[in-house]
Amino acid sequence: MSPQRFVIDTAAVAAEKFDDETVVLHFESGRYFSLGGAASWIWQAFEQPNDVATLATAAPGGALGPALADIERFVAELEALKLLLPVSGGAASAPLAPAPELWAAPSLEVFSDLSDLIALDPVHEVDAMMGWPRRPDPGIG
Amino acid sequence: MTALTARTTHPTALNAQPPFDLLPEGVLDTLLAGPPALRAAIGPLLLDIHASDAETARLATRALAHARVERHHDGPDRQHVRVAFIDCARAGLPPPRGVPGTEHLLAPHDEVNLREGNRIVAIHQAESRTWEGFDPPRGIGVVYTADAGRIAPWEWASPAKRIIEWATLDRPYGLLHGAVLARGGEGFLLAGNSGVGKSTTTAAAMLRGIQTAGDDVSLLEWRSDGGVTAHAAYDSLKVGEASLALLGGRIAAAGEAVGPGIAKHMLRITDIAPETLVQSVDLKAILLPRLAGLARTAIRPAEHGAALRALGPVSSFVMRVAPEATFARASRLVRSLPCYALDLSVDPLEVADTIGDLLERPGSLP
Repeated sequence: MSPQRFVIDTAAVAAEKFDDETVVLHFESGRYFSLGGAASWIWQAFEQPNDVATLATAAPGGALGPALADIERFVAELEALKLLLPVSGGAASAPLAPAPELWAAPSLEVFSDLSDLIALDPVHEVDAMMGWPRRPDPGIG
Repeated sequence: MTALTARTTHPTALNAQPPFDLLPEGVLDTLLAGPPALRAAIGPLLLDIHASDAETARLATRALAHARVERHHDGPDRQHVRVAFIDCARAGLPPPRGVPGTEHLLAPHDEVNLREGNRIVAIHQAESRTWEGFDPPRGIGVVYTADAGRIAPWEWASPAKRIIEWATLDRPYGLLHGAVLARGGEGFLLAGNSGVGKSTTTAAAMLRGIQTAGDDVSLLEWRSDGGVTAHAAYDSLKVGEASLALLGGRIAAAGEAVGPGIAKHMLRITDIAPETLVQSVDLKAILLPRLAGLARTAIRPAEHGAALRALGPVSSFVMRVAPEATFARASRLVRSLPCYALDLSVDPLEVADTIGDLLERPGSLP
């Protein structure tokens, strides 16, 4: 069985990478995230479909090294936060950027101050063509 | 949102491009054919405000009057946007219909967004039964309301904000959330979520004679020399009761409360310190204020990521119509300017004095 591949849900998020941090904004919830350590490298890898085993192979220590557990945990966390989508099939992805030489466990800081404001002042999303209660299809437009 | 979707049994289509297709025939063309109530120049933007009646014109123009230009003023290099505010109650028009199927589902402060992809193309606000939308090819925005008096007071502090955002989405300029303080036309953008001290600091700065281009949103423009100019979009200041107390009663609570349960007063900068409102500021840095409870305000370099976290999400939420574009604009800004964390003291006037010193001697920035 092929390993499960994931990709960033680009319809749901925007992200910007700086030297030591990637900032991610999830539009619907208003939550935003700071990715540090190896997290930026992992995030960049999922700009195209990829799987945990491929990342672990490229990380220090190789496929069965200590980075494997870090990557598995982090990918599960990203998926739970609706930042990654599982995908099936598709062509092979381009080679990964080099992993950080000094591996530090990927970290994710979650900021929910704006999502609290959104919850207080609800906004209802409607598809422009179909009206209520059709929620907009992220694939349209 | 999930609960509402589950309760509804069948889809209903609007079959229209609101608000334009919902207006009675000829209303918009007739209104736009007349002179605007106000023509305002905000940097590269020329904004004509049209209104269906005198009271709606008063509401729609008072926070923009600082940017007034003569009606014959034309700017071939400027983007011309016309905005029509139509109040059905005063104009004797039937109220606009909402999104079918949502009328009984919405609480007063709810909004319905019509989306195409990630972009909002029209907004309907429940309590005031107000539609807001923009037609890019014609450069026309419409605020079409059953009763302008029921539009939330805080909306009049920044009228047509979302229309400006729609109009500037693909331009090298656009709105971002933050306060702008300056001396001699050069200054800083203070960025951060609600409650970090931007408005209180702005009010205190005004009392010290420091210039401002506003405490909420400004129009940022990237110049051909690589610099960034912040243009004052609105003559308004929102200050809470606690901030008024901190300022020791130096600013009278003359403005109206912003909203029920929301302890903020909307004031006009020109009512408090008219000499401090400036049209444009050459931005030199981004400051990230933080309530630190210190005896003296301290400043230290900040990472660009921290600046984007302070500026991007809240700007995307405030502007709302195209969060991806707003976030990208915020990212471009934090990459353009040095960023500093500002750990605030407990005294807003001391904070203002510290910022004033930095504005006088920008070389003293760490």
